[in-house]
Amino acid sequence: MILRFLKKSWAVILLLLLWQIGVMTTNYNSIVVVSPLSVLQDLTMHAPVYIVPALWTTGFALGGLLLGMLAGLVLAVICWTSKILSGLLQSSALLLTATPIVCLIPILARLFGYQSRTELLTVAIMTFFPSFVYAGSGLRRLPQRSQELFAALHASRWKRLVLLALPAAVPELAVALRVGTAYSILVTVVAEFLMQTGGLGDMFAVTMQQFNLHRALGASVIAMALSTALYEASSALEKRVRLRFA
Amino acid sequence: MRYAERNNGGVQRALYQACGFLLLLAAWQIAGKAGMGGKTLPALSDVLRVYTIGWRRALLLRAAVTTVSSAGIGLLLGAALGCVTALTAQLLPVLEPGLDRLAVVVNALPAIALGPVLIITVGREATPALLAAIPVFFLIYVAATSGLQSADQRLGQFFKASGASWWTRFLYLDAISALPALLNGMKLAVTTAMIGAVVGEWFGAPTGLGIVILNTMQNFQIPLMWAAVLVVAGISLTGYGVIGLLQSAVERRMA
Amino acid sequence: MSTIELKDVSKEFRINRERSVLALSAMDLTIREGEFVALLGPSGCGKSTILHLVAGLDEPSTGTVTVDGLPPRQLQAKQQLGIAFQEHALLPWRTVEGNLELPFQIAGRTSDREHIAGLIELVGLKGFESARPSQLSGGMRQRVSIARALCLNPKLLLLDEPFGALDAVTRRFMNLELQRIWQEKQITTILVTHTVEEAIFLADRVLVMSGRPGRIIRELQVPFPRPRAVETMRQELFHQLVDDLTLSLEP
Ligand SMILES: Nc1ncnc2c1ncn2[C@@H]1O[C@H](COP(=O)(O)OP(=O)(O)OP(=O)(O)O)[C@@H](O)[C@H]1O
Ligand SMILES: [Mg+2]
Repeated sequence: MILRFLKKSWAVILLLLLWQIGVMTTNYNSIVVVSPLSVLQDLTMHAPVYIVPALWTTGFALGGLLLGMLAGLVLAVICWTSKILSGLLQSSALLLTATPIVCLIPILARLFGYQSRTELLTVAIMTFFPSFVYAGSGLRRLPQRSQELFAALHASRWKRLVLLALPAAVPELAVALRVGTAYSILVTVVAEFLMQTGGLGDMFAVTMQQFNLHRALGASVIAMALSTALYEASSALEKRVRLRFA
Repeated sequence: MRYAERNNGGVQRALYQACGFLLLLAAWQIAGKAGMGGKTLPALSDVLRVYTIGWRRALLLRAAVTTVSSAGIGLLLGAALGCVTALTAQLLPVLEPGLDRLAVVVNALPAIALGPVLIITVGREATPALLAAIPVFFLIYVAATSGLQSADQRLGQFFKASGASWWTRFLYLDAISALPALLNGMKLAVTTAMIGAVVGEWFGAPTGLGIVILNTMQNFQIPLMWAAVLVVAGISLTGYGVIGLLQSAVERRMA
Repeated sequence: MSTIELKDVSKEFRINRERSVLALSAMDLTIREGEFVALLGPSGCGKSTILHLVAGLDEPSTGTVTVDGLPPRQLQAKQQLGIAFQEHALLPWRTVEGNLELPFQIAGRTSDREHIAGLIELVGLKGFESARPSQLSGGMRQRVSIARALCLNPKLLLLDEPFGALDAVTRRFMNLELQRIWQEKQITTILVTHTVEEAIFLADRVLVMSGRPGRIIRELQVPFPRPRAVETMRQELFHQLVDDLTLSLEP
């Protein structure tokens, strides 16, 4: 049990250790640079303060993720049915990836209001693209000779979609989910930080202004832990899906 | 005949894509002119006019050079670190679970928390590059790891049966099979590096596109702000396209 | 039910801008309804190509292919085509049973569970109903693929080296079973194989093709009466025919 934990976390522990030593040996202003031990102390002493913001952030991150994934899949299926639509939509989608969405958060906030729905929208836009791209390539990555088989049986378009293309896309969708979860918490936190709509990002902003650095870093540590946990969960899911589908 | 058909399809597809692009721009222009986004969404023509004004063009160009060099350094640094880490994990499988988690945790460091710390420790100029390097490192680590494992199992067995050394196998099989996945990762990493550099500049870099976006936002110079955003998008798109071309060349060679 | 006619068929594949491969040239072939034809020929001579043309999966470069006087696509539309590919082409995410249900689902019919169970038993995979293709051996996958070809009681059966990965004993057993099924239903069948014995044992007529571009260089009407038993293979005449055909396969 402990051994397994060490096997997975030795590098992270090493990183924290280096940080601790770095803080102790140099003498940077302790208002900005804090040691991991003192952050840990605040986390354990005042754990209840973190609960609501953490739940808030998780909720929005997952909600936005779901929305973005769904939109990406639907659009990919639409593209799958028509070459014209596929061509028309692809360039727009490409433009959307190349656009730094995070830089657009201030603009989105202006357009849609400094509200939680903007937060949801930002996460959805960020996760939409991986879903669209991976679903698109998954719908086309079919098992060897399966297209000929379906042709020989004169399968309808609908049957090809439901029985062949969609199941074939499942592994790639799992990849999209993993990539999306890697962003979801981070983007939610940045959006909350900029718009101050509640959650861990908001907590960070407020405590930073009060120079309560321990609490601020505590909030980021929670965000990191959430992000890591979600990512590892989705990775595990992807592995299982791969086994099942290959 | 088949070849001709495929070629034709490619031309047609490019045509549709161009049409889609133009449609998007037209929609923007109309939405902006109709004032659908209030003052925050100017018409495309108003944004493009910014580029015709000499001193503004010079400002954007100077800022772009700074941001691109930060993003470039971040991209190279992150990619190199990612590849080295992935190779380490491949060579010493015991370390792999730990390195996996390290990559995820490092990627999960919120920029808002890391930014101020970096400003103090490494300075204003280096912060954007480092903030760009972190997500790039993660992307490349993931891409390289999965790429290194993507070699056909039967081929792997063949190499083993032929008594190939680790090095030969790596050189002739693993490294080559990893290329498509690696390039795919690089493609996404370009945008990520640009975002990292822009966000890194928000924490107080002296110049750069991120600073332009931040200042124009506060001074309500909306067309100039969009012009800066478009420059960022254009640079990312160019990088994406160049690596995409490389990738399709490699994939065609390997298909 | 199904008479197959190839008239002056040739097929050219483009490799790239400059090069192309002539896989078939000037093929004339008629297969009677209910006939069992075996195709022999060196690797790369266009045997799979012929099957693909007859199945309507590919168009000939010149000439025409008809089934009962109609283009092969008509047969597809009626879902009367059973085909087992050289590569097994099973859906990796479905179990053995699921893969056999697939043709029913594509045709929009309710799957005939009894029929499926019978087919699984026939190909000797009882107990593996819920195994997925990655958990099966190469030969087992081939057997699933043959069972799948038989699912919808086709009028035309196209088999591309279906027993290639099987051991001699299973192969012989499958040969006997295939003959039994064929005799019950008299399905027009084209079998591509590399084994001369198998061709002679199963077919009414054996066609030998030349190397690329593929052309028919030899035709043999198999004289043995049906049903043929294992003893048929021990006859002097059988051995003579095998030697004879093997000789004509040599370039
Ligand atoms: N899709 C294709 N594109 C290009 N060339 C092809 C294609 N399909 C087949 N060929 C070519 O046509 C020729 C005949 O191929 P075919 O698959 O019919 O051979 P075969 O007789 O089935 O061989 P084998 O016994 O090895 O299966 C080969 O030389 C091959 O290179
Ligand atoms: Mg073949």
